[in-house]
Amino acid sequence: MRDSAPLLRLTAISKSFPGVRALDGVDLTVGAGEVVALIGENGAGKSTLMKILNGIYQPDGGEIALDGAPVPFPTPHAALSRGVSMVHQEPKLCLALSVTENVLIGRLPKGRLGAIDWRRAHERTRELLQRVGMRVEPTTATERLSIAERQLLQIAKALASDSRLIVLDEPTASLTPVEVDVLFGIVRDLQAGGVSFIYISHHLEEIFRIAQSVSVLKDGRKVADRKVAETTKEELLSLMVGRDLGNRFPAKGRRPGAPALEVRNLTGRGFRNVSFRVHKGEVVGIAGLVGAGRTELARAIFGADPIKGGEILVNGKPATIRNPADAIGLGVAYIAEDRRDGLFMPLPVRENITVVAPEAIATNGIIRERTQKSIALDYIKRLNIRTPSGEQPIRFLSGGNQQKCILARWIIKGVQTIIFDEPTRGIDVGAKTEIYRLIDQLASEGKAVILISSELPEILGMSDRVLVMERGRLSGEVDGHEATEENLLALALPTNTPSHELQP
Amino acid sequence: MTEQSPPIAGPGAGAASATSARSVNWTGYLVQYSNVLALVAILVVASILSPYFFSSRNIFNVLRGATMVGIVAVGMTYVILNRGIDLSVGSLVGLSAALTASFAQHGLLVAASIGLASGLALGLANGLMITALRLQPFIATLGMMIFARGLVFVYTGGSNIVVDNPTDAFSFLGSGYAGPIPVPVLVFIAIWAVAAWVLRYTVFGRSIYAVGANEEAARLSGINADRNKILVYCISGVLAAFAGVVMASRLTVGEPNGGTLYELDAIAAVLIGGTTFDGGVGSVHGTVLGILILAFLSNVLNLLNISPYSQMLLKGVIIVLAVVVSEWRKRK
Repeated sequence: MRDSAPLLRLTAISKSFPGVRALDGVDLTVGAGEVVALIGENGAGKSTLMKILNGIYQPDGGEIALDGAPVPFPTPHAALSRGVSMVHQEPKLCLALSVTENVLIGRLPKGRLGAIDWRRAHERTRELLQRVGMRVEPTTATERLSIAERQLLQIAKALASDSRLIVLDEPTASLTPVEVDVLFGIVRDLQAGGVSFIYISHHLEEIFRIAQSVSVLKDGRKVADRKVAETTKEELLSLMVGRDLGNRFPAKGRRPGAPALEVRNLTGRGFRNVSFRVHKGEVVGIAGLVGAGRTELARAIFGADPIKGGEILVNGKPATIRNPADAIGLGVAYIAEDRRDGLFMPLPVRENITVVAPEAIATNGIIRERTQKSIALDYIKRLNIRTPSGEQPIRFLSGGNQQKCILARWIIKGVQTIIFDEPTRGIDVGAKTEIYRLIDQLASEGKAVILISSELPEILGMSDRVLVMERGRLSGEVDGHEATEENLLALALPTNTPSHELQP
Repeated sequence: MTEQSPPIAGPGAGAASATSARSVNWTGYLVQYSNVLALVAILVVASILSPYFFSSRNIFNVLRGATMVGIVAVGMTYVILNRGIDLSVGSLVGLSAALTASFAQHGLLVAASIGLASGLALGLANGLMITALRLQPFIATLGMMIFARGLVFVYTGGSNIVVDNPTDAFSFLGSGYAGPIPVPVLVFIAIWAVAAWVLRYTVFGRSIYAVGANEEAARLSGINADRNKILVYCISGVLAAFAGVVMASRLTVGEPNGGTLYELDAIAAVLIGGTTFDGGVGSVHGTVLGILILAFLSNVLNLLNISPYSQMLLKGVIIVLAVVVSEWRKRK
């Protein structure tokens, strides 16, 4: 596939921000029709590099060459006009507008008098949608598309500008396994047509399915290039973190105690007739495809959304939970799927940590700031939260450290049951391991833990028992020691799914 | 990462020392304290240009003139921190002033109570429209602004309500002096102090920031966001009504147009003070700076005989500049 001059060659790219050397002499080569994976912990420099490639940042040094000729990329628009485009993790789309407008934005065909030629626009869009395997009407409002469809729409948009190189940033983060298969099929088709991809992902398994080569970034330097066929997941992991991780998950050996939380025939929007029990000192995983109703179930238990029927028992007693405050009062906490639903971005770490426990920091509604500060610092230390001080606005912290702040909150509150909803989504490997250790420690200290996760290794590694949801109902329960990716997937996938899709 | 750690949910573990060396960053400071510098610059320029400027008479006149919008702006700070907006405050000032003036014969206390009650009732209505009916604050309070101004016109019949033979006791709040200092200025300082203290040191105050910064997160943290919002609009309504009481006491007249455009002046002061429309960022101190900047600026321009029309050009530019600077501050 490769000829003498590669499609893209980055040479010695460097970029510094005040106080940080984000990139230090990074080289990267992408051949025509090649899929190159780019991996590294959060903060390793992946985003910075991609922003330079897309003309969002200017490098301090180094060279970008397309087809062997050096090119400047002064603006995103210029990058686009040279055939480089980016598919963002969280699509930046105009949701109220039609699919056509989003796909052809900035290049809608004009007719007479400069008015938009809608017939031509919709035709062209239909053509592009077909290339990415989408069967929606071009006039559909974009907000009605699923997350997966929005990813594909972005690829269609990239094709609309005749992109030869598409950067996929964590494209599968919110996709179900079936949707991932569809996406990969399309990537392969386009690849066969000569389109190249840079594929950024935390899912190392995916790299082995889709990429030909992989480049590893660490602390702003490129530490390795490998042919995918000649490397292993373990090697990549150790290259990323610079040390052998050993077992990523803490050993299980917990002893469940009395029931902490029980639901009976719980029904609400997105789930029905769900019954299960969680004991003190136990981690119960909830597996399932995206959209199986896990988040909806968790939010309903927590009082964030209404329930339509069934019972919730806390410590064996029937409980009335009408809002999150009720649930918190009963010792039940929920850590939201989208981390931003838990953070007060402009406020300092100190307040973000203590926000749910006014009783710990205030008397008669008046805050004792010194107590608040010392509690916050205490937990910053205990949970190893990396922040210059308790006064740092939380928006400056990395995802993993933000997540630890949220966790600190509930530990201070002294809740009995914690529901984690995708607690490690989008955070780097090192921080993930820390979160796992914290979850294990909480359970060992007698907390009841519910762990909702779409990452099967995480469910397998952490859970004493695994519940599986499928289209709003509980489809099965598997003991933690007997659970495998295969038997969980079999329960998670819709029963009428052809068997060849069961392969993980 | 692999080392053993103390129990995370149990007692123990001392406080971490988390101090960091800070290098001096002059541009940072310049942006951070730009509004303080702006005020100082105005005062310096003013004292050079006009020998009369720094007389205590002039200073206190300016301050007294600024108190009514100032009181309104304190309430507006709460609302904007909460990620809302209250366009009805100007009309609430007018309504309260008219009510206070018309009940003046029963004494200031009774008259003021009636005025304040009107502000509380309509502020509560704002809060309920925004929470129970899920209306956008802009729309709910725009409706209230027009409705309350209508109430003023209906109540006054469109003409001034003049207080007959106002007593000194009635006028004291708006026109009195404590030594050299006008009473309304002292009252404003008291409101400022209490409002700033509540925001900084009470659970309620911090909840205003939390709800403003992220309403969903606040809800998931067990904060009753709706109650928080309702209270904020009540406070804004009561403070606007209190400004109306001061106005009636000062002028001994309830004018049907009293308080018109106060909402915009108050919003301008809040913005110049660095509180952002995104919610969760800002302070009452900033708003007081904003009020002082606007008040002294127009005083200087008056002393320089610049027409009120031309003054508007400058004020418009300053408001926009202030917001640009607070965006820089946020990005820093």
